[in-house]
Amino acid sequence: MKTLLKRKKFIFGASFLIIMVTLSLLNTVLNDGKIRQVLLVYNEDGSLQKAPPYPPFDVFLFGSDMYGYDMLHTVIEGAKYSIGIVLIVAFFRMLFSIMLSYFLFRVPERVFKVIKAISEPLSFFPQTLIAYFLLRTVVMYTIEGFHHPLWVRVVYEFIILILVALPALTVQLIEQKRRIWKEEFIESAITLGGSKRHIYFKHVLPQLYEEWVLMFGQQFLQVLTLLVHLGVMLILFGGTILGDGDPPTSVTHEWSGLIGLNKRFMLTYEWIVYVPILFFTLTALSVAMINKALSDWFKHKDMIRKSK
Amino acid sequence: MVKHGAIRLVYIVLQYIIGVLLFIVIGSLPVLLRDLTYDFEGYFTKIRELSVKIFTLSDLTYNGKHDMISAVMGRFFYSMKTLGTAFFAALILAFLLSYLIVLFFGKKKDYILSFIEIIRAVPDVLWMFLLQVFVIWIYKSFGMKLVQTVSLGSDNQAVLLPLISLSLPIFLFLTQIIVLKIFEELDKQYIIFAKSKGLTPIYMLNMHVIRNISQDLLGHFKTIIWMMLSTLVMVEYVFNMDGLMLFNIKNLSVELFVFTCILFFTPFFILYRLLDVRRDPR
Repeated sequence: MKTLLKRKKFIFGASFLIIMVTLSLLNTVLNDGKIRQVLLVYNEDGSLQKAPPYPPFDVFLFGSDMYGYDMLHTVIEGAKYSIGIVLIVAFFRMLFSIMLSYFLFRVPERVFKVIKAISEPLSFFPQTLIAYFLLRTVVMYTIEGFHHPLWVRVVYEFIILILVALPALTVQLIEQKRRIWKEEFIESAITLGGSKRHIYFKHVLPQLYEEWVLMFGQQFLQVLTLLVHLGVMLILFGGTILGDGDPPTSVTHEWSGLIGLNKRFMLTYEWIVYVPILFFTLTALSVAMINKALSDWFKHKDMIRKSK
Repeated sequence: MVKHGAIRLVYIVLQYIIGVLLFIVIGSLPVLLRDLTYDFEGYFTKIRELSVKIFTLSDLTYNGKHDMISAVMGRFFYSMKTLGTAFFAALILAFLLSYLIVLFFGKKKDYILSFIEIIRAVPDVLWMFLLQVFVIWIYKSFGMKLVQTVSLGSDNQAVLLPLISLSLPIFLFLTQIIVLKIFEELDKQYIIFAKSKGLTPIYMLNMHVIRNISQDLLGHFKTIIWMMLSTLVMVEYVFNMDGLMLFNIKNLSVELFVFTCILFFTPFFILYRLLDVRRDPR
């Protein structure tokens, strides 16, 4: 564990994520989720000097949006939602597919072939597109308001985001377990009379949990990408509010929403779009770094074990 | 021999039909879940109706009135052309870069590989936005328009930027795999033998290593196609290209969506089966 904590990549990635989430939570607890806002800046003699949006390095470090809200503050407020959503979705994707693959991995070869044959066409659904179709009618705001309360929308969105990846992930996990099951030491364990459950928990799991940790990181990145895609296409987490004439707004300050909503400012006030994108990228890079550090660490551990 | 082949053919056709049915069943889900009304009756009616329409290829419409096939085919070929060009560009560039790494930067490969692995995590949308802004920034500061940033009508089609942003993720992915596999292969016994025979490194790479790793690369083909299809949606959306994916987003229709998926599925299905036959020619 100590050798892991000393890796630079791990320290950078983990500290970025932890700082973002902590600041974001503190903002809710201590500051009641409010965001710093400067409406207009006046000269000393009372005449108007500046009006929002302020560019970066002027009033605020990262500039402000159209209404004078600090972009950095907005992004920090949104961090807990974005990172939280992605963590939850990635976690449940892994959990469900691990459970499904536990029940399915010892089926006969013939049945497994059928499962594979069925899952193959599923990889031709562009994930973004099917999620867009399924979510659009539910999360969009209509003239009569939202048809469903917030928690229904959120749970529904979670379910869709999880289900979209389950088939492919499950098949991948089944293949992994079948590979391990064919190893020699499993055969000797069966000969020695270990029950299937015993073998699974004592021999198969220890082989796999490292791979699962890495897969979790990959899923995290995939969900993040899917979330950005949906955000750009204006499917915002928790619901998109479409007023008449007004630009659509988001329920939370979640990052993908910030990108999608402010895309129209891309040519005039580009920082409004680029600050959330920057933080998205930093999050993705942090997770990739943590993943890389972990996989190096696992390899290192393996080498030490073998050389003993 | 003939009998075996016939059984195989029947199996493949069956698999294709199951695939199409699966598309219909899942593609119709938006009807079931529209506004969370759980419209089971409408769902099953839709499935039955769609199955008849798709297997007979007649009466396919979008928006309930326009004929679909004529509108879809041109856009489908446009999307496939973009996809194919991006794929081959990525493949060629990935091979060039991996040769460069293998031949000249062998000692630094660990750093290069971990850099590629980390940079690969950047969401593809970011590349698109960055490219657009870069071109616009050049236009603003030097007054010269390098390439079209967004498609506006048929005269001003964006070509280069979509291709770059579509092939960039694949290019990084492929480079990573190819370099890893080549170094794995270089550790093997026969390479030492080849070296002692005095073969040049280039000859060894071209004649032996590439042939041996091509099987592994084909195994990643499905992942690559899957990645490209989801990037294609965003590329067409962001660059406003008149392809099939954007057409889907503009005309939300279950029929169109199912038909689109089947269209993309068919050529790749045939390709996969051909690859299977090649790998296992019994």
